[in-house]
Amino acid sequence: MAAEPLLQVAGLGKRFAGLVAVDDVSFTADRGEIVGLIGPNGAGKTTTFNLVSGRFAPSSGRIRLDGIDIVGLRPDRIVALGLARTFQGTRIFPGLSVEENLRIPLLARAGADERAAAERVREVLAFVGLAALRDSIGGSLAYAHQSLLGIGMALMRRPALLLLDEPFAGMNPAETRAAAAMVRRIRAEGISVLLVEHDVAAVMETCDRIVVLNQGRKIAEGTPGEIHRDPAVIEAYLGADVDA
Amino acid sequence: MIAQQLANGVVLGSIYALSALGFTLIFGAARVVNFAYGALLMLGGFATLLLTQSAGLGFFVALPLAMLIMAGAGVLVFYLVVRPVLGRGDLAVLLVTTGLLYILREGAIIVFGTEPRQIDMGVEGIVEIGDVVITNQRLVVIGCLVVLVGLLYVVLYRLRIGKALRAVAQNRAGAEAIGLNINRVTAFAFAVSGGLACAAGGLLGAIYAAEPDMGDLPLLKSFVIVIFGGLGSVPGAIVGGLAIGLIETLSGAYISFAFKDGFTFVVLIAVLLFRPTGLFSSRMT
Amino acid sequence: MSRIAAAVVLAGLLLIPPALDSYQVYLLSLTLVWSLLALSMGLLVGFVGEINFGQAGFVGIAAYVSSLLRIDFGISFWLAAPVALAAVVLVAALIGVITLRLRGPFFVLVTLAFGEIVRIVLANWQDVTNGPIGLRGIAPPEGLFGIDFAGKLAFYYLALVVTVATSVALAVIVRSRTGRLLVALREDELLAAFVGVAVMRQKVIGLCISAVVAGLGGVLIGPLLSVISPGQFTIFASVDMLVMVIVGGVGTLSGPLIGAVFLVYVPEVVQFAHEYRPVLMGALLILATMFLPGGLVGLMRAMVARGGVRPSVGAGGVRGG
Repeated sequence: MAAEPLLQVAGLGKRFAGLVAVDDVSFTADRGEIVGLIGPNGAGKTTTFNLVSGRFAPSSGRIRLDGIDIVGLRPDRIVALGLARTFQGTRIFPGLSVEENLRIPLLARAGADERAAAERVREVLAFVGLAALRDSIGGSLAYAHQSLLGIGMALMRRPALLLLDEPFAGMNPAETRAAAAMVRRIRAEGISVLLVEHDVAAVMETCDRIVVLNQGRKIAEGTPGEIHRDPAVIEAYLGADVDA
Repeated sequence: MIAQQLANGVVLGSIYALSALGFTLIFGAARVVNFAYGALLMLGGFATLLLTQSAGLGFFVALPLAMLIMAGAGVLVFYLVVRPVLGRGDLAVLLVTTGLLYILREGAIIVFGTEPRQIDMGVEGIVEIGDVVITNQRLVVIGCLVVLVGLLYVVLYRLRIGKALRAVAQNRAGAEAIGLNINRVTAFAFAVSGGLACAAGGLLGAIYAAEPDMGDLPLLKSFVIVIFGGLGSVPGAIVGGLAIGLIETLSGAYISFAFKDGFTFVVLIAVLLFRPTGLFSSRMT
Repeated sequence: MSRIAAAVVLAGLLLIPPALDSYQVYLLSLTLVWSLLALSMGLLVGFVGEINFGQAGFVGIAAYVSSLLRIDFGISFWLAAPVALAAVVLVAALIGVITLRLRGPFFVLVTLAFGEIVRIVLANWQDVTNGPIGLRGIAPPEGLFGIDFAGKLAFYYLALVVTVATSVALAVIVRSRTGRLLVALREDELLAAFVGVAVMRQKVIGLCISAVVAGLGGVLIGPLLSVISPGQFTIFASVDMLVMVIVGGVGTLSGPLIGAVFLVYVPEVVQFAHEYRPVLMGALLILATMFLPGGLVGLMRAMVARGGVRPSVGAGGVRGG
């Protein structure tokens, strides 16, 4: 069993009303790995991300998490199997306090132990650096803090795999460095990470392995060094206007 | 016999299609459901009635005039009731348009009474095609659908504001980014919607009767039709309207007349049961 | 502060009625029944984030099932009421499983259809329901533990106990795991699903709780009015409940209670002609949604508390689903 990758995506495809958004994409993510998903605009990376997290149902292909087929499962089932995700920008419960935001993922699991929950809230608050804002209302937080809270919520149930949706969007270089450090700290906790991102430089620096999509298909896969030299990748980005 | 029922179904379906078109346009442009839509249809019926009866105009002058008036009413509804709560979510829009439905519908009962009144179309006689008999009145209904759908396509595909409306319906954020005035476009959608509701109301009033609750069933059916044909879809509303008209007429003729309205809901529930993910995703994108 | 206010109101409700004439006592009982109905709608709008135009259908089912069991089978009120409530929960669970996956307008439409279907069945299933005329001469609840409920005052106290107990139970539920998950759902359903909330299950549970509360109002209506008919359980009644919730305050429990008092007594005091009532309801719905997003409760809170008070978990105002 140990030989099997944590996440196996095989032959993934998605059609929206005749338009092929994702076409026969396969890749894996191993335990303890940070995998980046990049590609020019419209490459299908966000759709792939949404398929893997269970937001959309794929038109074809298989997705296995820890050996279990998760295609067609309800989001809460997928979460229970150890997959968590964040959303582009910030997505939190704006009317609830920071602490209550973090509590919801634990409450969602039946038979939650109150003391263990309080302990986990403290841990995660410290991990994402929001301990001082514990009682603030989520919607009143600054953008950066809201996005940290979003990550904190995803971490609450100690997922095996965390999917980050554009974690570096809208950040300046210093903030990007801090967020990248956070991603590596998450990995250090034993959580694998799959992230989709526009900022190619940040992905090159953060990820162990990179999957490049273009026009719905996988065009390259490898270490940052390999991707950097790959002519197909350079072609795809030059041909399709690199977006900043 | 079956040909006759098919013909009747197309007539009924034409009115449903007109009604559903106005309903679906607003959803497309503003992503909101206008619960007061049935009341606008009813007001359109009474506007046509008053213009023919009190002002003595012919039906074919009165109906376009009433449509203009109701287009204005649609714009008023948007600016006075819907727009103030637009940023506050679906529930708020639902509440204010429900409130408006109550005021208009019950207000009409107080003003006009509950007695049904027929609009005089000034068209008589029948046409026989084989053993199918259709009154000329009903042919007018089908003709109105054809003319109005043609006009709608000219508006949506030729006029600048119509193209803007389609752009907003397809991609709101994108349309805003290229500098379209979303409020003006949405107001225009309410205007077109008001006009189409009025056409449906005027025709219903002519072949059946104008009365304060005449908008209730068309509202429900518009709901069913746009679910059938896809929310925001113009061809979907036309095809869906005709389909529901046929289902109702045929089930009423061959299964049970008393429960013909019920069959529409059976269809609705069946569609909802078997295509919930499709509906769900159409709201997500 | 609000605890003291609640204690004062409760003391008044316990002590004053014996001094009132029987019409005033009837009005108070009517307000209590409406309070239950408004609470049931308030739970749905404020915590499940949905509107149910068929809520009166739940009320009607409870009223008819309990009254028919008593009239046709001679079963005591105290046995008929729980059976009626069970029937309502069953229907609600069924409706919920089928419809709650539908969002916003779709859910509303199906509830509208459900309400219509209940009304049509009540009006047309002549042999059982006695058609549009309805059921007449529904007796007060039989005596229990030596307490006689035949008098208007005794019935009033029964309704009071039910309403207070329901309010307390709902206050507990709202703070429980289910209540907190429902609030999260109302805030952002998609996010809730992706942090692991079983969205459908929680919403069905919410709908069932709401249906029980509506059913409690339903079983009391028969004995209160002694007459029930299909016309009482139309979409108009559902909209009345909705107006109570919106005018009183969404996302709170005191809101629907205050809304019920407001809407039973205002027409009583102003003596509106009956035909203007729906227009008034429509106008109130628009005005409260536009200008009073927190309802009367929000208004009172704003007047009483000037800063320093943390908004409670539920103080969300009208939000989209």
